[in-house]
Amino acid sequence: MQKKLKGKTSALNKAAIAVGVFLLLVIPAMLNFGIVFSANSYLIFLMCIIMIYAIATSGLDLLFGYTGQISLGHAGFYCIGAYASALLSHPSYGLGKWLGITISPIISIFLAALLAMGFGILLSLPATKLVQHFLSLLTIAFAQLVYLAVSSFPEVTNGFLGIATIPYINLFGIELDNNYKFYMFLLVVVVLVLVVKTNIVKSRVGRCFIAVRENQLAANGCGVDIRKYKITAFALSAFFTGISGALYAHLVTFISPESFMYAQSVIFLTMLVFGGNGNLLGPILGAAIITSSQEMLQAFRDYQMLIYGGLMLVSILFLPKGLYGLLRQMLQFAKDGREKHVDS
Amino acid sequence: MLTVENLTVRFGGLVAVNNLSFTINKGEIFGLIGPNGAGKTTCFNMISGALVPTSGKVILNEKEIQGRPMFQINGEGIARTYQNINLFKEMTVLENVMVGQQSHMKSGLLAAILRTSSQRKEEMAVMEKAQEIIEFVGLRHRLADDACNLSYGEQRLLEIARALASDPVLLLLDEPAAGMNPSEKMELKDLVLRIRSKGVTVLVVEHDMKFVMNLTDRICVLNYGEELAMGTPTEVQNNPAVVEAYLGGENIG
Repeated sequence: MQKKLKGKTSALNKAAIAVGVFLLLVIPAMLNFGIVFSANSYLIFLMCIIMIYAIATSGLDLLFGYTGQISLGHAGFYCIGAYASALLSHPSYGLGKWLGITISPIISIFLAALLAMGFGILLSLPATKLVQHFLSLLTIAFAQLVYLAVSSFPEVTNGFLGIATIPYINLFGIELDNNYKFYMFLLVVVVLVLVVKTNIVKSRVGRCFIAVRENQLAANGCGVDIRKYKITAFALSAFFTGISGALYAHLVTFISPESFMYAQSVIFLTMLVFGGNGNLLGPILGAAIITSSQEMLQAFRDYQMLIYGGLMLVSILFLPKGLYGLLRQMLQFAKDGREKHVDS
Repeated sequence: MLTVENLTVRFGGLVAVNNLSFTINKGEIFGLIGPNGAGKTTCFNMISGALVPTSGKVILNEKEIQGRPMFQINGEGIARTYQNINLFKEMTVLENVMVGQQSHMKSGLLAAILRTSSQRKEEMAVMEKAQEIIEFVGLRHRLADDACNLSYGEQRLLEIARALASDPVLLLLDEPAAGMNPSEKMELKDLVLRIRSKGVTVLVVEHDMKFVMNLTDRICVLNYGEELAMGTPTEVQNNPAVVEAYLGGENIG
């Protein structure tokens, strides 16, 4: 009987994988080539945005979900990633303007993420000494500073006019100049990010993160250098969010300070809390659902923050483990029911 | 092995522990007892690094450790449990004990990301050792359960298992028998004796007099932060000063 049950769950897993492949690979291809659906580049663009948000939210998850340190300032890292990569790769801004050299986007994205990580470490030095609302305030202030920096130095960032015509990513001679190509590339990046995240979470580093979240006194007594692991979490989180921001810049090819306001930090946190923090799929689920609902509720754009606030409240009150937690509970429930059925 | 020299801590005007000195020999089970508020846990906190003493020394194997952070003292070989249970509630029993081995792990972040073969080997070794320790304290059947789902007595055992995971030379047990029923206490006593027979020195704070008297080799009695008496359980029990502190004066004795 045990075997039979096992066989059933693995069939369920196979079904889940099939649905996943269909959603992530087949539908975009159909949308791109106009099979069944009419060719729709905008929907593919939306899926790209979901992927980009999923990377940022996964990064935030390492800090908030695993290590238990809140950040309402991830728009700051997102912004640093986007601007750094743009300024490094653009022929007429930043490096291109001053020195006449440009760096290939594929490298500049990585450098931009490293820079965001540097800022993450810098922010963590005071942040590791703060808790709860003081930490929230510090991270808000950080993002605000970054926002002010990019909007008040027009000689460097072109101010509120923004930076346009950011070059496409060139991958060994293939230019990612349409949404479908970019989407395929993002799919690979997301898988890489998830692999790295899983490896971290399942190692001693991940265990220390969770230990810090669960009980700092006990973690300290167990030999966990709390400060070191909080700094590590900030650094990793900033790195992933930096990558995400840089990818955004090269996808949209236009950035301006408006994309990196306080609301963006709230969006990341809402996605994470609503999708479910402290696991692999929650952040992706959150990114997908919030991004799509954002599109469907375009008419209510002015009430965006209200909607996020409401969603956040609902998640905290009724879905402590997010949508992912709810789904898992339901699956468990169904499984238990089936087992009882087999038993009787 | 562990020497406490003139240890003093003041909280504002209150002297919580005053000029306390004692030495614990290797392989001993040493008890620290006293009425409520006598400074037992405060003393514990200073030895384990949770509290910085105002003055005095804590010397472990000829090395001064007072005032160093807890995680470093854990690395030096002192592990502890807590009076109010402090587990990683949403981690499994196995994971709790794996975290306990932190001080002896080497592989870092990069090795974790790349899953190098030495990192995987270390993870395997840590998991196996954690299983052995869990077996040793008798929680084998709870291996995969979350710590918050354990009974009170089991949680106390898990704290001991997690402390043992760091291979301590000195184990500090802060009221390990609190909230346990008589049969659990018997098992606990047996467990502490087995821990000692592995070469670990044990310092125990406990309220349950019968438990302490049966378990320890020597006892230090604290009252108002000062040493009241020191000696074997029998000596301490017959010390008039101790009887007075506990039973409240001569009209009873």
